[in-house]
Amino acid sequence: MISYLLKRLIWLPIVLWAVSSLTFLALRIVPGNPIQTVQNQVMDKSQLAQVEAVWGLNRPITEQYANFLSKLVRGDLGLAMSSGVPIRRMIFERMPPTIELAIVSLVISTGIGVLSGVASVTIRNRAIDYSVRTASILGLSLPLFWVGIMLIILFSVKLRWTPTSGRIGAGVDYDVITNFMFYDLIATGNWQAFGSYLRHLVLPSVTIGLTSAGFVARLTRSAMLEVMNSDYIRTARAKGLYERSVIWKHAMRNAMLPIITLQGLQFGAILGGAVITERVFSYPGMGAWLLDGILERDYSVVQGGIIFVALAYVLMNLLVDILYHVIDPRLRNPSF
Amino acid sequence: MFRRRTFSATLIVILLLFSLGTATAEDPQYGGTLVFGAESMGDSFDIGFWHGFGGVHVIDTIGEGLVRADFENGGALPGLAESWEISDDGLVYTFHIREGMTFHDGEPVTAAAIVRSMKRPINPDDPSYIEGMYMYGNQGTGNWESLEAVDDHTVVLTLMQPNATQLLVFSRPDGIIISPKALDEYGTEVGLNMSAAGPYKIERFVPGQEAVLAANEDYWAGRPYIDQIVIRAFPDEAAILAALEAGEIDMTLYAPFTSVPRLQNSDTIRVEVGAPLVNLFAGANVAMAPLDNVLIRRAINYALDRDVLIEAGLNGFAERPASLIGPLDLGFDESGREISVYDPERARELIAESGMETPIPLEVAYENNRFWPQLAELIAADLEAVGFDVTLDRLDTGSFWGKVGDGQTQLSINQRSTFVPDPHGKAILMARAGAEGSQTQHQALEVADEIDSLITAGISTAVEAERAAVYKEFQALMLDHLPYIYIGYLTPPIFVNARVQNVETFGTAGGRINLREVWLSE
Amino acid sequence: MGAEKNTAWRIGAFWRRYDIALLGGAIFAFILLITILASVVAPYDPMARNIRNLFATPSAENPFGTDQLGRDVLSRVIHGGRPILSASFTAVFSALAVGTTVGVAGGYVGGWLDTALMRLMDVMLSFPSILLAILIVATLGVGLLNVTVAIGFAMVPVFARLARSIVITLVYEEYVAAARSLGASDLHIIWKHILPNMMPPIIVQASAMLAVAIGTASALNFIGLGVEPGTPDWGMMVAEGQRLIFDAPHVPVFPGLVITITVLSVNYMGDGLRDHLDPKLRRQGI
Repeated sequence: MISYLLKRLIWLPIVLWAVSSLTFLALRIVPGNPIQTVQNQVMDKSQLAQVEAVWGLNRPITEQYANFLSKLVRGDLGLAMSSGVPIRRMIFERMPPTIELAIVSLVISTGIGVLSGVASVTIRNRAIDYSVRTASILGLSLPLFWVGIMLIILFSVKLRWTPTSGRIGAGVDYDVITNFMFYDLIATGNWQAFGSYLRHLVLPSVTIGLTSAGFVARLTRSAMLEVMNSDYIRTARAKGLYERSVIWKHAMRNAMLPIITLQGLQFGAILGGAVITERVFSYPGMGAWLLDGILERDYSVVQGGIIFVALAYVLMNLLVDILYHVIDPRLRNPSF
Repeated sequence: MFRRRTFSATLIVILLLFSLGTATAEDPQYGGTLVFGAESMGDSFDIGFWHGFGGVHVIDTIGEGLVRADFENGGALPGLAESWEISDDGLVYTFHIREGMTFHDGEPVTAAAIVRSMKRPINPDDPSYIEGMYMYGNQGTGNWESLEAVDDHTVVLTLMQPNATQLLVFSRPDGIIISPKALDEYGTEVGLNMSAAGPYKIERFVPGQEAVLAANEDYWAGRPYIDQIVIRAFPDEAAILAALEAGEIDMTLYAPFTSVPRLQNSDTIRVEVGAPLVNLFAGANVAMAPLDNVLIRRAINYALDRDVLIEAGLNGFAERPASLIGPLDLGFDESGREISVYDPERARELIAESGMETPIPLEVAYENNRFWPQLAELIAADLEAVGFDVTLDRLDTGSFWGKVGDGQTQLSINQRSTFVPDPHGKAILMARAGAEGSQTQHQALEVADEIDSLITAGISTAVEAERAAVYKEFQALMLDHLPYIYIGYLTPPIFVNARVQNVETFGTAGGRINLREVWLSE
Repeated sequence: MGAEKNTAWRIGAFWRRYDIALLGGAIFAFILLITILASVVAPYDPMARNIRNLFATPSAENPFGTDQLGRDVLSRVIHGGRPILSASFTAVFSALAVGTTVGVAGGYVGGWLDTALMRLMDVMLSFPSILLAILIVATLGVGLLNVTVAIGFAMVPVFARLARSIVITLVYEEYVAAARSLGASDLHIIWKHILPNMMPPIIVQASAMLAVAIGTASALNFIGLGVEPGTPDWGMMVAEGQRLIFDAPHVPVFPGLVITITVLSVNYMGDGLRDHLDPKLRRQGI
């Protein structure tokens, strides 16, 4: 186990290097550069050249790459080209909101997905089975910007239950410690702000949760179906075990493997990929920030942001793999 | 001899009351929180960088430069400088700084503090200096011979060449004065901890999300009416509309125009119409066929049915165009309205005259946001009707400017809103220096040098009548050669909650919101 | 007589077992037919603008109303299936082919090849797929082919990981070991024993990924990086119409409904196919 962990950890820097190099390269291939984008109409060529020189954009790409790598190794992510703000500061601002969003969304999607998946298999009623399946596919197919704006119209504009957007109410006062508001607001006992924070988190996390609950429900359903018909469940049944304990103990244990894998992947996907949800709900997270970074061709923002997303992703996968080994001893084999 | 302009406080109040057309019979009230919905919120307010319009709105609300801009009548109003003199040769500016002012952090606003802040972009020894600050390019620092504080309340700027726009650029967002204490304390991260001398101060800033601003009790022109202003980002147009209807925001410029007819019938929302400060146009790349042929450019001009573009593309929120200079600008030439007109017959004749084989292939580039796609499709329809074969080139912002900067676009649709009420801000699009990176690539225009010398002439004299004559000549030349083809002057809807009173519709229309006289009823 | 009754009974049983799947298939076939015959079926030219008739609400002349350029929404919906469906299907099937190959190769061969391939997939996956797609379209430019490439590329690792996870459990099954001990070649084992067992989950995944592909295509349009401007396309119509949801809901709602119905029908088909193909399930008669 330990040696396996070590082996995986050795890969960590290699994966990060590959991701950051690909990002670096991709950004240089995309037409347009940050200075052209920001200072579009009036800057003349000599000014442009001057600013490009400051950011090193006029040097050969190999030199830029070497420079980028050597800074990266020293942990220097530089300044955002468009705003002049240090990237590490921006990560502090943008990463915690997205991690919070990802965790709550996953809790929602796991809850809804597993329950409805199990229900569709165990309650032997075609109507329930099909409505769960229909709902889960609906979740998959509806565009996020569509679901998001529908939820806003229903719950914020018509019913006025939740705020339309943002991370916390306009002008609400609070202290920032870690920028994980869940922790900060509890630690400072700021319950009024905490309430506002929770109310703001509902719609965006439900939006993501609903759409990915579809995946979970389908996986649960098919994993359950497979397991329910396997020999050992039949044996368990034959032994006279109660149906409920069969389902939860044996079937779920096996259905958990693909669900954990999926949710691990989802976590990574939400970290950098909640682009649309963050945009519709004006949620100040990584996805919206990276999207702006790409559209403005802010090389340092995209490079710096992607490395953190990749890091979180790789660590999450490591965790998933460890869980795998804990749950299913069969997988402890040398081919890993 | 010096021209002296001194304004008393009462005169300013009277002027403001006149300029703010919507003043009601009610007396202004103090208090309340106004939430402004912006299209973005930057990650910093460092004025050396561009942080989107959300950032500009914050900087405009917290900051103040030596002067402020009078968007309605043109020209400068007193800011931190209560008066100024300009020498006859236009080279020496003497600013008299108002006494007794403080920055938000309590530091006194002195001549030395002002000079320190203004020199930040050209002083690499300043602890807050960041290599690559590009926005200061607008301040004209390259033309400064010297900038000095001669005593506590007098700043003297000496220029190398006269520059008629020098005074007004100090009213730009990048012209605001920052507290020296903040520059020392926060260094290169001063943009996250701004301390300026405007009517509001930053209470809290969440990058990418919102800035919470509180009334500055010590503002020189008196405490503003509203206690707290929250400028918050809503990148999605439907979401901003939802927030407006849910009563979460009180004011915005960024809701879809298509919603205006419905909102106008609402009890809780009011729509005001902004002044025509933003110019919409199509830039023709004159270095590339077929737009290198002036007959083709003229044909395009006559092919565009402005009434339809304005009605169907902009929901009626624009005036018919004249030229590159706007109707509120110095030297505006009304006669352009006779040239920028729809005449498809004439367009077809011009194409026939050019001898080019129809349909003429033409690429139309535009940004993929706001009303641009809609406008582009309508323009394409007009052009196809007279004999062009249009390919639409919808680009994200980065690609659009990348392609423009590399001279790879043919016809590209865009806008120009200047941050100061001066024709130079629009004319400079045609300056020789920036030509290779511009939409028109006008280095290839046969009259490029003539136009460039007119632009130079436009700023090298301070006599208004002379400047007006220069800009008239400039417009005539531009309309003759048509490197730009005009679509209209945007008169943008300003969406406000019914409780918002005394909205300023001039600067606001150009993206420079001015909240110091706004108040909330009830 | 007996044989006839038997046939009827079989058809009845087949229907009872696959009712929703067949219904899904019928609906999808109908949508495909309409899409293919679009130019015959559509009442108007989907590109014909009428600036005198913007945002008309549904009526006899325009059953789905008109959009922001006065174009007939029904005609655009009828024409709008071709680009998004061809992009999504092509993307998913290409990703399926490439991804499954990668996954089987890694899982079956194991060792360094497995490690290298899976770390490569990690690199691809750790780049958020929507950002990857945005970057690809920003580089290649808008257009159907580029959107297809962008969506498909980002999906390869999903199939690769799924295929691998199935393969590594299968290689330890008795029958694979038995086949091996009987001297069957690797290709034979993969073809005869691994692929058939892998197909059911892959098909389910593919039909789900089709939903994701359609969602991604819409999202790309929403960001403004989708198909060529003006093209009638469901994703583009929903994306461009989103800002009109308050003022002209018919513009985005109809294409949105059609997307939903299409995805549902494909997924029911997928489920039915899976149930039909899965040897285990067939044995159980579920």
